[in-house]
Amino acid sequence: MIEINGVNKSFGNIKALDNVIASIPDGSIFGLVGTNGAGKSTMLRILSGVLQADTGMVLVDGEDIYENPEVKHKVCFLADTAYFFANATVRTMADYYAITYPDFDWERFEELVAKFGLEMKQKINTFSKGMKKQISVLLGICTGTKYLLCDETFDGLDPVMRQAVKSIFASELMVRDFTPVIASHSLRELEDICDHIGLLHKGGILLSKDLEDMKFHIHKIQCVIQDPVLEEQMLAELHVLQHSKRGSLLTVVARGTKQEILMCIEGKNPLFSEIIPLTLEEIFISETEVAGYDVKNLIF
Amino acid sequence: MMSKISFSKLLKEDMKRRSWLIALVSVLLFIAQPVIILFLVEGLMDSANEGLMTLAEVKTDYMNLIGFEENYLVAILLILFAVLIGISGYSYLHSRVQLDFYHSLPVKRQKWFLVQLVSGLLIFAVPYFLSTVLSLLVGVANGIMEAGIFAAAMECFIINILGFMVIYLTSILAMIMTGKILIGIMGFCTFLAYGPGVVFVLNNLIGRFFTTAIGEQVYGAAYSLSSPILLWLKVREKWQVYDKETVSAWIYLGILILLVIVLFGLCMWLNTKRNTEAAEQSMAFSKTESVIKIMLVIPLSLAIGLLLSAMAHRNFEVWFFIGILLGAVLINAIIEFIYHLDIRELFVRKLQLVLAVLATAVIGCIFQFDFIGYDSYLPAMEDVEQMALYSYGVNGSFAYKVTDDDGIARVEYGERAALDEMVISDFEPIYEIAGNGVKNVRKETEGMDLVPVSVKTEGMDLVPVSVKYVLKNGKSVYRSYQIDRNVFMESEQALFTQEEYKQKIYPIFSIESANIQSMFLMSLKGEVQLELTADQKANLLETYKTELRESTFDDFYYENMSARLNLEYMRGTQASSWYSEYGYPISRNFTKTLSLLNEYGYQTETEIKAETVSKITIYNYNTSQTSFYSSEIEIKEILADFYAGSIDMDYGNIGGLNYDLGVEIIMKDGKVVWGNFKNEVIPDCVSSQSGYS
Repeated sequence: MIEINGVNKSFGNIKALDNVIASIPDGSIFGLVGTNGAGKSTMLRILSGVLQADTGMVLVDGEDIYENPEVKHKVCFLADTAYFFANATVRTMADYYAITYPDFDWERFEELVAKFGLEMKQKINTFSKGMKKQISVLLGICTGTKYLLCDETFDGLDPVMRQAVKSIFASELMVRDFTPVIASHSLRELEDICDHIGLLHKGGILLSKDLEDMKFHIHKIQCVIQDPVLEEQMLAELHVLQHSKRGSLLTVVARGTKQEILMCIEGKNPLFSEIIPLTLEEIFISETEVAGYDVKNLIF
Repeated sequence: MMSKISFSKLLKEDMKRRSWLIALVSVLLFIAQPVIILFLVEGLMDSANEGLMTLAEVKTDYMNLIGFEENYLVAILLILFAVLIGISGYSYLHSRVQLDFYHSLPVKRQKWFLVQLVSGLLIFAVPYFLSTVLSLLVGVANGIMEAGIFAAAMECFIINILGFMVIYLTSILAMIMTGKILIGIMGFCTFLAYGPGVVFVLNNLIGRFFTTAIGEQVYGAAYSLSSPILLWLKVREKWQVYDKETVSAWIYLGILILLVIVLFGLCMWLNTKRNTEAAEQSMAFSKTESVIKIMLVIPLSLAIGLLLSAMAHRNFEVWFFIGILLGAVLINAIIEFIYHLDIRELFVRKLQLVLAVLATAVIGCIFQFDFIGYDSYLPAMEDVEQMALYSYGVNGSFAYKVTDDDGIARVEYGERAALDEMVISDFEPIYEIAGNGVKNVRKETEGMDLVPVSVKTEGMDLVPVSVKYVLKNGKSVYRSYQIDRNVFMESEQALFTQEEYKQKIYPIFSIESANIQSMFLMSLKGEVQLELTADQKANLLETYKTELRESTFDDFYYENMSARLNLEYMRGTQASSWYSEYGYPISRNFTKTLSLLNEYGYQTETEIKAETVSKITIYNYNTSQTSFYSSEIEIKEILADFYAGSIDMDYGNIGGLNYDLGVEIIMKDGKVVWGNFKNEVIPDCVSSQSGYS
C-alpha cells in the first residue's frame, strides 16, 4: 500500500502539490485524474522517489521511498516521455532494466514483444511515438515490480493497443501482487480499467474513492410513471442529483442503493423502469458537486 | 530483501553507452603518443646513425618526448577529454527526461555519481596508459630504453592523470551546479578563468593606480593556485627537472592531490543536495545565484573600467568610474538573463544590483584615492632589516642570480631579480631615497611610463628607482619611486663607499676568468673583441676588479667615462647558461686597466675629432623634427657638448643627460656614433636650427 501523508511540493513560487493526503490500496488499479498542471506528474515523481517532497512523506509498504533502493525495487515509474539510450535497441533497454530490476521477466518480455509485433533487435529511435509507449509499458510490466506508476501511459496508443495494455494490466493483477497507478487527464481513458480513482486539482486531492463504492451509492434509472402526482412524490422521496424527461420517459440520477431506489419506484406503479449504467463522468459530476465543484470545468 | 545492483555492471553499461568516447580517446591518444614518438625516434636514430647525435642525446630527446617537456599535444588532448568526458557523463543532470529515468531506478544518486566518475576516469586512463606503454615499447625496440626514462614516463602518467582528474572534477562541479549544458560549459570556463582573471585585474589596478607599484604584484605561487589548470601545469613544470627532486615539486603535487580530494568531496556533497527539478534551470542551487553574480560583477566591471580608462585620451579617472558603473549594470543584466532567460528579470533584484555597484565603486575608490596608503607606504626604520636599491642606470646592464623556492639558482635580468640580490644591511642611504620617493609621489606622474631616463615633472629633475624593503617580520615589500636627482646622487655616493654594495651591483666580482668566453671593448671607436691569452684575460679581469672595488660613484659620472667592458661568460649550473653583459664601466680614473689595455694593443679614444666626422643629424623627439649639420664650426660646437651613448648612456641616466634630442654622428669611415647632450648645455646651433630650448 502506498500512503501519501500531507505531501507538499513547490517549484519556485508555484505550488505543485498542496497537502496531498491519499492512499493507494494494494491489488487495485488506481487512476489519478486531473487537468494539465494539476500535479499528476509531480505526484507520480514523488511516489517513485524521483522528487523529494518539501514536507510530508510518501510511504511504500510503510517505508520512505526517497533514496531508498530497497523500496524502489518495488516501484517502476514510466514517465510521460520515455527515455531510451541513444541508438538503443529493444534488447539493449531490456538488458538495462534486467540489471536494475533483478526480477525482470525475460520470457514474458519476449512473449509480449512478439505479441505487439515488435522486434528485439530493432532500434528504438526508428519507432513511432506509440511504439515507444508500447515498449515503455512492456518494459515496466516485465520489471516485476509491485507498483507500476504510469504517467499518461495511454496517450499516443491507438485504441487496439490501449485495450491490449489494459488487458495485460488485468491479467497481471490476476497472477501476481500488482498495483498499477495510472495518471491521465481524461476520465474516459480510465473508465473501464480503474477500480479506484483519485481526482487531483490545483495540487490537492479533491476526492479519492473506490469506483465500486461510488457505483454502489449512485444509480441512473429510466422509468415511465403515468400519474404526475406519484412522479412528483417519487422525485421528492429520492435523493435526486439529476433528472430529465423526454416524452413520458423520466431519467433520474439519484443517490442510494439499487434496492432502495427500485423499491421507491415500484411503489409508484411505473409502466416501465430499469437501472442503466452510469459513466465515470456522471459519477464524478455527482461526487464533485457535493464538494462544491463543477467537475466539467476540471476534467472534460 | 532485494540484492544490491552491481556497481561493476552499471559501470560496464555506462562505458558501453560511451563507447564512441572510448574510441575517440584511444585513436587520438594513439596518434598523439606512440605514433608521433615512433616517427620522431626514427628520425633521432637516423641522426645518431649518421653521427649527428650521440645515443645519450637521443635518449634525452626520447625522454622529453615521453615525459612532460615536448609532447604538448597530449596535454591539450587531456584538457579536451577531461571536459568532454565530464560533460558527457553528467549531462543527464540537465535533462528532466533522463533524470526521471535514472532517479526512478533503484540506485542511490551517489552510486550514479560514482559510476559516471569511475567510468569517465577509465575511459581516459586506460587508453592513456596503453599508449604510454606503446610509447615505451618504441624505446625498447630502438634500444634506447632505460630505467630513468621509464620512471619519467610513469611520473608523467601519474601527474597527467591527476591533472585530468582535477579538470574532469571541475567540469563535473560545473555540471552539478547548473541545469543547462551551455550554462555548465560557461560555469566550467568561469572556474578555470576566474582566479587568473582576478589576478590580472588586480595587477592592472595596482599598476594603473599605484604609482609606486613595480611589475606584477600578484604572481608566482598565488597565480599558479588561481586555476586548476595552472596548478597542474605548475606541477608539470616542477617535475620536468628529473635530476632534481625539489621540495616545492612535492608541495605542489600535494596541493594538486588535495585539490582533487576537495573537488571530489564537494561534487559528492553537492550531488546529494542537488534537487532533481534543477534540470533545465540555469542554476541548480538558487542560493548561489546572487553570490556568484556579485563575484563576477565586481572583477568584470573593474576590468571594463580599466579598459575604458585605457582607451580614453583624458579624464582617465572619470572614464574608469563610468566604466565600472556601466560595467556593473551591464554584467549584472547579462548574468540575470543567463539565470532566468527572461528580459523582464534583468533588473528585478535591485538590492543585489545596488550591492554589486556599491562594492565595485568602493573598490574603485580604494584604488583611485589610495585608501590603503599604498603609495605613501614607508615603514619605520626600526622595522626594516635590509633594503635594496635598483636604478636602470646602475643595474640595468647586469643579470642577477635568482634563487627559487627549491634553492635552484638561475640568472635573470630585471629589477625584481636585482632587488632580491642586492639587499644590504647598511641601508640608511636607501631609506633616505625611499623617503624622498614617498614625498615625491604625485598623482600627476601616474601613467607615466618608467622608461630608463630621468623625468622632469613640475620643475623637478627626477630619477626613477625601485626599492625593496626586507622587514624584520620577514615580509618583503617592493616599491618604485621618482627621486630628486641630487638626493639620488648623494645617496649613491654614500652607497658606493660600501664594498658590499658594489660587490652586489657588479656580478663580475663573482666571475672567474676561466668562465669568460669573450671580452669586448666599447669605446668611441666602436666595439672590438679583445684577443687575449688566458693569462692576459685573467690579469685584465683582476686589475679591473681591483679598480672597480676602489671606485667612487663619481668615477662613473658620464664626464669621467672612457669606455665600457662587455663580457660573454657562463653562469649557473647548466653548460648552456651563457650570458652577455654590456656596461662594465671603465672610468678615465681606471688608469691601471686602461694602461693594461694599451699594453695589449687596445687604445680608447677620449674624444671624436671634428675632421673625422662627415655629418651630424639631430632628432628632436618632441617635434619629430630632424636637422642636419655638416659645417666644421657646427660639428666642433656639437662635439664639444656631445656624450656618446655607447659608453655613457647607462650612467647618463642618472647624470642629467637630455633625451629629447638624439644625436647621430656619421664618421667619414662610415661608422655611426649615437649620443646626447647634457640637459643644461644644448649647443646654440642646435637650439636655433631644431627649435629646441
